[in-house]
Amino acid sequence: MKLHGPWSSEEIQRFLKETTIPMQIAVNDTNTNPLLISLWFISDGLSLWCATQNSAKILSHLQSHPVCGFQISPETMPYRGVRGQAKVTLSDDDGPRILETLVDKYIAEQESDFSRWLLARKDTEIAIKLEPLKITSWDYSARMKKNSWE
Amino acid sequence: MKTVSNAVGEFLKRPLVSTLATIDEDGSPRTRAIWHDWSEQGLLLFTSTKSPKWKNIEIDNRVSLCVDDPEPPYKSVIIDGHAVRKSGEEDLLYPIVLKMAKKYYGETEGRNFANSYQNMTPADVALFEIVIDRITTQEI
Repeated sequence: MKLHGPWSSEEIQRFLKETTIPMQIAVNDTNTNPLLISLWFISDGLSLWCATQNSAKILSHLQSHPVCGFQISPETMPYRGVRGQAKVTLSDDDGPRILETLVDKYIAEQESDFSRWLLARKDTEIAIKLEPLKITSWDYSARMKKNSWE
Repeated sequence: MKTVSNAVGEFLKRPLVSTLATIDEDGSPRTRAIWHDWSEQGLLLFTSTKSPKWKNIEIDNRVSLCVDDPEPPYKSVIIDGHAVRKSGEEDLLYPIVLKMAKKYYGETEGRNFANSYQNMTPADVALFEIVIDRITTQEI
């Protein structure tokens, strides 16, 4: 796997672990058009996991072309983040476990109606595993520190 | 071109950094963070003509753009379409870059950022429009 940009593998892993915003995934649709979607993610080292319902169109697109682009970049300044391309595998067995971990990460109130609604559908959830082929990090902290954002 | 509702238009005017997907030479999708501007002139973006995303667009101009609010309830707009160079870009480039820079960076830093674009030409920077084929929204 190729790493580009200022961050080491450890710094990228720390960023992925600490970041609680959705990730953008770009796939090819059936006509090979690029198609972006936004999904919650968790990280395992440099691998990334998401989950979606088994009826989601993205799953058939990923079955046809199991390579995606991805990006995780907070809106807050200074701009920083990671992007790359990844090999994708789908797993029904891991779906419920990944959904539970995602709900735990993204929903502060575990007993909310929203988390109950999500978890009620966990048996039909499919896990999407991204194993990056290349990762590029960017961090404009130094450049933007010279200005007045910080 | 698809009609954009007022609600979607207002969302696109927020200073949210968008993600642009283009198609690499091998057919795989590539993502990049990018600024955008929505107005009566359309959905405009700019990039260096030497950037990988512009090189991709020159070969295959199909793109997807995701603008999303990272905070709950995770409002988002995803636009699929074709990237085309904006006609009259030579005159439009600096005003549009200045408008975007002020939107994202604020008045003072925006002006500072845009200054470096004053003498740029279409050979250096491509100002392009996404001609919209499809709009997908969430929570809007």
